[in-house]
Amino acid sequence: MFDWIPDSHFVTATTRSLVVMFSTIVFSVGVGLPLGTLAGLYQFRRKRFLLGILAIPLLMPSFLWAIGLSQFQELFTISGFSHSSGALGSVFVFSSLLIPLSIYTSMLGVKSVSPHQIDAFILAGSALWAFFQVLKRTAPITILISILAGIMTLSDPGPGLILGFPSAAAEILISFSALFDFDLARQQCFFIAGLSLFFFLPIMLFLGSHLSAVLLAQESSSIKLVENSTVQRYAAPTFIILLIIIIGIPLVGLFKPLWQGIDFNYALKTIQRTWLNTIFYSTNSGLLSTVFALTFVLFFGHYQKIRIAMLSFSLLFIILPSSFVALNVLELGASVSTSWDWLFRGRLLISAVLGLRFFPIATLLVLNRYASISPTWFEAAKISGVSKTKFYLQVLIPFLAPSLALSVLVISLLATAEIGTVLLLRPPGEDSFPLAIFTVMANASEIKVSSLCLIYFVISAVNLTVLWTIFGKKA
Amino acid sequence: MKKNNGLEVIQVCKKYADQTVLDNVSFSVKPEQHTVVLGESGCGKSTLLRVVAGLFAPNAGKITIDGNRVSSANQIIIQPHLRNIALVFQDLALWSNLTVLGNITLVLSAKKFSAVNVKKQAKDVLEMCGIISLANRKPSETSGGQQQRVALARAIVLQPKYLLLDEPFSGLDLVTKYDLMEEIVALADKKNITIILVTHDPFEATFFAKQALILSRGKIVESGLFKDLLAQSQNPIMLKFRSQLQKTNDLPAVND
Ligand SMILES: Nc1ncnc2c1ncn2[C@@H]1O[C@H](COP(=O)(O)OP(=O)(O)OP(=O)(O)O)[C@@H](O)[C@H]1O
Ligand SMILES: [Mg+2]
Repeated sequence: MFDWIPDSHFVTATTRSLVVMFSTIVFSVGVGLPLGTLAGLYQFRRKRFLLGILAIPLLMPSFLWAIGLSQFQELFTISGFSHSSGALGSVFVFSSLLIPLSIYTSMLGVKSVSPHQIDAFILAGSALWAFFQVLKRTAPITILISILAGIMTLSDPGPGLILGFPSAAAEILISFSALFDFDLARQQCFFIAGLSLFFFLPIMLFLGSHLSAVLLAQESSSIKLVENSTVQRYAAPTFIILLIIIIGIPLVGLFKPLWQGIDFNYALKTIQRTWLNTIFYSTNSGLLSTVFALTFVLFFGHYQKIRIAMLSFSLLFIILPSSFVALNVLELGASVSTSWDWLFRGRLLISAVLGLRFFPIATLLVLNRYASISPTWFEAAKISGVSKTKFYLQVLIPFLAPSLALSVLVISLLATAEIGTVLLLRPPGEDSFPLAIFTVMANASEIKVSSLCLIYFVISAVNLTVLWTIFGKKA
Repeated sequence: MKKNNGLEVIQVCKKYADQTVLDNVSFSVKPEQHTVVLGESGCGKSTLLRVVAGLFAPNAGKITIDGNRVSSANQIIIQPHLRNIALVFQDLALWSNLTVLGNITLVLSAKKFSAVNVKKQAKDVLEMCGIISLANRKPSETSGGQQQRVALARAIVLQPKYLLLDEPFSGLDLVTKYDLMEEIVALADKKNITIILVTHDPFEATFFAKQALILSRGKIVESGLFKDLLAQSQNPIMLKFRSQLQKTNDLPAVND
């Protein structure tokens, strides 16, 4: 297995993936860093609302965006799919995920610059100069996180497959779902996993303590958002244009076939068939992930070094291709005795694998709140003899509760959008809703696919709105 | 039982990584001999209180309370909650998700009182500290001075023999501060509590102190009766204190 050498076909596919990855990173940082710094630094009209909308692409499976884009291109009868349009399309789809991410990251980055420092910048020079000083300080973390997210595009087959620019991940998908050659798929996965690690490890070395410093940045000394008339005038329109491009275009394409009619019947039937599984997979992975994270934080949250190590290590689960993990789990399942079938042929396995995958995000959310606790809380408990159990149950866990709830919700939503793991590990017939869309998209009529997409979009949007009204006050 | 001979700190050293924060610190505090700890910012005052309370062990030296050894080098012999010590932290350390009452009852419940008893004792101490009306509020819904009272109530509710106060009055207005200080001293007299107070303020120091310690970079540079130090010491802190208090005394008398 280790001496497998990829054939030229797969090498070409990998090259495509790398080109898309690098272009996506450059483009996303180019757009996201200045906009994120702006949003972190300045107040402007409708900011909360616009930033909320921005999260939509993060909650949609990327293949839906790819379908949307390809149908949008048909609108203008852009002839066929040349190589370049497939490449550009892939970059576009991945960027619409990475741009929101890098905007959010640089907003966090701004929070970790001390407010006094920001005041000092503003007093010392022009507004533009101050802006660039802050931008310079938020750049490292934004670039690093964008690279991490960029690495994840290596294992996403959707856009390449749909837009006719088959990436390495698309080849892997073809290997196991069309050729049923699991060995080949696993070898290819190994190759991509190695490649991901090759990019990931040096980044982690750079990121190291940076990561916990910025990601766990506290907003205790809440920044007074700056008011600036120029920003007031142009920021909101800029964000609206961005949203129209990265969300509007794919959505128009996605829903275009609905002009000819909506197949509610079909959509309802699909939902009836899949909603229980969808909720089962996603909620359980949210719960599992959060329970892992809470356990970890309660045991090790106190130790700065373990925190950083654990956070970095857990990022591995997200970086490694989901199909890599799933294929290895399958292999493991095949090699153990049948008395383990309840686990390896059951639905809970999917939740566990997804839960593990999103563990770093859960850890981050919980740690972030945990880090705001003054060490004297523990000392005060110790000195008055409050037992550990009592302190955990009555003080610590209730204090962490909002972050636990947020973690369950966010991870359930992210897990819903994941199809690779479900595709490989689901017991026969136990599809999730997005997987159902994925499997019918090649054969069913456009109207049917679009009807399903509409439902998916509406449900995500409702979830997002709920999430945003409960937890979004901080932005 | 050994005799009640106060608190003794003997040649205590404490390091963080390779920084020596307490360097061979020795002193003793006799019962009811309220003591102030003075010293520049970062000289190790809070660390000293933590070592005395048993939140961590000294790297060298030992500590005895009423004749019982409670800490020795790298070893906690008697756990903090069994030392009869209470500590009001510099940042107060109120548990923000519990109510004022909840903060008190959690501490009380650690001592295995019956539930009825816990309620009653909590109410009593809140009454005494003048914050009974705030019982059901979260700490964040009370003012700075009220929070200080809550922290104090939580500290004294277990009836400690030693009350360690880490700059508990900073940020209070003068009137509130004096009221609170008078109440604490009265309480200490009534219940035989010995106070160790960390402060930067000459008036607070004068108000409480029978004895004073001056720390500088982790070492005790002077110690003795407060009024002696105030009269004779050439330590910069004491010189400043003296000139401050002098100025106040030079003010034209308003009364008497
Ligand atoms: N947990 C810690 N880890 C490492 N160093 C620490 C820690 N706590 C305190 N220190 C260091 O020990 C020294 C003494 O700190 P301490 O808090 O005891 O000072 P302090 O006299 O109470 O100062 P202040 O008047 O500002 O409260 C400082 O130099 C501080 O940086
Ligand atoms: Mg201190």
